[in-house]
Amino acid sequence: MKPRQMIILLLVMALIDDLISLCFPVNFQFQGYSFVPHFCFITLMLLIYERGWLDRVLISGFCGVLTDLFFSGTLPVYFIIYAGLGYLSGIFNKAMEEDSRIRFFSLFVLVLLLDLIPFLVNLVFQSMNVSFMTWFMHHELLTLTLHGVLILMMMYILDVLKRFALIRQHRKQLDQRKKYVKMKTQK
Amino acid sequence: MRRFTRLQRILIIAICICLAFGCVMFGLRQNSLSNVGYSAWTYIKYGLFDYPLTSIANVFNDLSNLWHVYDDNQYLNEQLAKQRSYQTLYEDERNKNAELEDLLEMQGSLDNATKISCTVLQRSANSWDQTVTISAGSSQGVENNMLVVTSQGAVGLIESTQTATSTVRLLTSEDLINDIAIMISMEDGSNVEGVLQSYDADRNAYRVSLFDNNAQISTGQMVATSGKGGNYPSGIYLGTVTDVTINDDAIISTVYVQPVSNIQSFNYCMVIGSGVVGE
Repeated sequence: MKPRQMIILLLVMALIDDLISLCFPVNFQFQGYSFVPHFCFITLMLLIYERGWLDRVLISGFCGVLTDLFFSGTLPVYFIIYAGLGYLSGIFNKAMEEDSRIRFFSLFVLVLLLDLIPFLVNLVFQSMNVSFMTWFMHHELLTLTLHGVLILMMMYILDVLKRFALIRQHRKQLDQRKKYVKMKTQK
Repeated sequence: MRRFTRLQRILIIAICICLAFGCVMFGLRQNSLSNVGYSAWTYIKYGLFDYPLTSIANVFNDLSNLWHVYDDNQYLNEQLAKQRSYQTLYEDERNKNAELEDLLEMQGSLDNATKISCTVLQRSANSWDQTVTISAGSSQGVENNMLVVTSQGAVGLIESTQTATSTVRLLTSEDLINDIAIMISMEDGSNVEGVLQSYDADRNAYRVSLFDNNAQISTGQMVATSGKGGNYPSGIYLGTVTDVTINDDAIISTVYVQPVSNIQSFNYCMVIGSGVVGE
């Protein structure tokens, strides 16, 4: 996928994240069940897992920096987390390319880590005094359940987009080949 | 040394700039970039998503409220309609109550007369001024030619009786079964007697002929029954003199008497038999 398309897709996903946060705000008093959207993160991981480790770290780190600067104001927390998870996303990239189940499982774990690491950090620094089970039941359970479905959806969508891009590329190459053959015969 | 690709170089530079800027801001202990950036981002998001989304949500909210308003409106309209009915019912009951109270008062003043209270069962629109059917009959002691009175005064005579009902010929009828003997009390204490013969629909008044044509009758004088000739006592109010016509000989010809006010519409009445009216 071209970088421009990636940027637009990530921007759209980020806006969808905000849309969902607006419609269904997270209950930080841990009453009832909340859903923390990570559409942008999942799309990012799916887009970069095939790339080299440096590309993965840089792209995800940049997204993390922007998140820190414009949303959370926790520089450089999300820069580090995103960069680390970006690196981890491609560790089993060969297996992920071959088997979609491994891809799904890897992304699932990454989403869990994205929420778990800040929770543990807050727990260590005692800025949050909620038990793991309470946090998991009220925030993470619904998040993981819905993201499981979302990962499958995004995997399918990106596969279709990639296939479409590949078909276009092949058609372009075919056209170029025909043009070349035509030029050759005309000579 | 590893050579960075163009994308990697751009990303490294962008990350360095953002980190440096963030560190400078953090070092200056100001959060202005985050605030400014967040404000700009918030405005973009607000314009692209939050405002349209809120507007859509408000539309649905308003639609559902509109439905509630419709339901409330229906309910309130029904209640209002019922209120109007309640009001008319109340006024009807109040009028009936007043009528009954007046009849009760009249009943108390008629000591030796036969008094039979009853209600109007039927009054046909075709014969509104002619007859009514009442809920008292021969079994209650009603007899022909008894006088029928309302809370205001006399309105008719019993024309025929059945076991439980009777037919009353109203005094406004074209054909009165019998003339009614009347009297007009004068200022000097004497009485002028006469007879109620018929009803003049044009003048809306009874035609009364006096036995004493020399009597000085003036408008406003009250006319009552005299109790002579008829199955009813004396002193029952009939009406008020409205006009006196004098013939060419300067002798009173006809006295016109206005009927009681509620002769056109009454629900309760009393059948009165002969006797002496207590004063």
